[in-house]
Amino acid sequence: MNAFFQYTINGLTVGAFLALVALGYTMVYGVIRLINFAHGDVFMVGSFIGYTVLTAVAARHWPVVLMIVLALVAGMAFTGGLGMLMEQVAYKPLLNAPPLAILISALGVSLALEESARIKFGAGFSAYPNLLPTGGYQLGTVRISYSQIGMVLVALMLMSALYMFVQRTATGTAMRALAMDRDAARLMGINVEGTILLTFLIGSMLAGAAGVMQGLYYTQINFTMGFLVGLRAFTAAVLGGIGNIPGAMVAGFLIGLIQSYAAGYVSTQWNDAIIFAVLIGVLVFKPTGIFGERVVERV
Amino acid sequence: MRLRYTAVATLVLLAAVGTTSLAFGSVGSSKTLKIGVPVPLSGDYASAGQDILRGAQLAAEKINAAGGVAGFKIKIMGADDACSASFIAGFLHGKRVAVGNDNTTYSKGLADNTVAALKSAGVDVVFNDALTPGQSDYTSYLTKVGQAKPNVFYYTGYFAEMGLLIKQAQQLGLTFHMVGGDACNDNTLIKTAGSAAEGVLVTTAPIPQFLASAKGFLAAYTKGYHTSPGPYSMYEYDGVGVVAKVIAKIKTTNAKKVEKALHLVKLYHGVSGDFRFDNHGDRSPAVYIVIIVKNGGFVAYRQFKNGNWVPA
Repeated sequence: MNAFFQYTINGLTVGAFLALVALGYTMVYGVIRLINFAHGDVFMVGSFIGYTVLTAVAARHWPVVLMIVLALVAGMAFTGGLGMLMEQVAYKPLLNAPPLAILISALGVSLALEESARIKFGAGFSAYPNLLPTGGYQLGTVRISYSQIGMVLVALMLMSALYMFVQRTATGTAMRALAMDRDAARLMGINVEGTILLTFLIGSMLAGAAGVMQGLYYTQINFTMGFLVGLRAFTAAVLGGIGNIPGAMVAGFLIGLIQSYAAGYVSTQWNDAIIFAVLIGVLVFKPTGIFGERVVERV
Repeated sequence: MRLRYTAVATLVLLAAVGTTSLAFGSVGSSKTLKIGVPVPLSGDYASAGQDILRGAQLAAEKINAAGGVAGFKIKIMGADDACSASFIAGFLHGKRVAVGNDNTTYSKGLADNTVAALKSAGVDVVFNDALTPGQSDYTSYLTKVGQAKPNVFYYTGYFAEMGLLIKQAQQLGLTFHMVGGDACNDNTLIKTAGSAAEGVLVTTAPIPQFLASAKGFLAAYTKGYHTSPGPYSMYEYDGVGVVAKVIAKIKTTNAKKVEKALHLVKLYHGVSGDFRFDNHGDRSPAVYIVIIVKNGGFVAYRQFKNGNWVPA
């Protein structure tokens, strides 16, 4: 029985990462109906930026918290910029083209990012310096490590910030309006192009933060790491209702939990099979996801 | 016309399959042909070694999928099997042992053989399951291992997953001994696992840098060639040495006589350790050592000598 609690803790931690990445998928789909296949690779790039920063400052013995914040800021800034660049160069020109064109463009960006990382950092594994504390709380047979708590807290902070932004600010409301109906939003005076750009910025920043956190927590990073994480995060985005921001947050944690229970009660080999079976089930029985897609009904 | 060609082709194919089966016995046989692949999985050549091993695995998988070779299924073995079991059972006093693999031919083969050897040594194998390589989170897998309450965990897969397993085991507060097979011999493991790697053991075929008996050889080689020796040179060195010794003794270079004399060598003190030749002409015993992570690097720990695991 106590294994259940341990699996739950593990699952929530993994889920925190997935939720952050899922948000990018869901937001971008919400505003331009594109499944940004390059988003998983943005996560990977963020991780490598953090790696570059940390290996550069590791010798200086600055306080750990400062180094972590620096890595996060650098990662998020770079990926935010990358996201905006991607939008301008690879997606914006194709917004009115057949949907397949923009999808292929996204795949192209994904390949370009992966190969660039491989050329720059090599095909092997890079290791973050071990900065996080190694201890934890022991509650009976269940162990919650300090780093797990840290990761989940940072993820929740970022997600709350996003939620506040989207619900309470004018720009956030503009994003939601844009997701509902692009033309009507334009008619209401919303700067559509600017808002789309902002969506990419925020989504990519979140993925970049998740990438740095992944590096800090798991230590080992590699140029192909974006693929599997991207796929699972995308599953979470669909599960939560693609386009639905709170949905993506909850579904991210849910997929993390499913992964953990599957690994624990069945076998790690069945992880992905089970996650994707869930995805298929959702798409067949409730394609709008568990929280429903945010589309306005045209009456 | 086409029908005739098809008919002829089918007949030829059937004949070919038929005669092949007759010649080699039943294709569905479960006999295994073990192919040893002694490759460097440490040092400068680690990536080459893994490359070689994967090439062998891939060939084995392809051949096995097509029915095997002469009725045998191919099994790729690193030189690791019985030695790990002997070390775990004998030296670590492993009473409850968990074994993990990454589901590839090499890893699974090694795991299966070690489990069999452990069981025959009277050890309780409390966990034996594969994980999926290429992922980053193995906390649930490790929780399952922990549930079985082993005192030793032996992993036969690669260093990439091993590094993660070690780090996450520490995060989960799990305290069993962590031991890796050949394929875990890589410094990336230490970089990934950080402080958690201290005390982790790896069973491996040695490079001269790890053998006390190869000190002189190592110095001479490095001086003469301005590079570190790889894993094969010391065996070649010993090979030449033992043949030269035998020829000097029997005072002839007659090949048959030399071969006979080599079989009669009781014990040769080589740089790769003490050895003789068995009935098949193979070096006996296979050289095997255990290395340990100490102060952020691998150092030699124990080697198998005269039936015991003694300090290397």
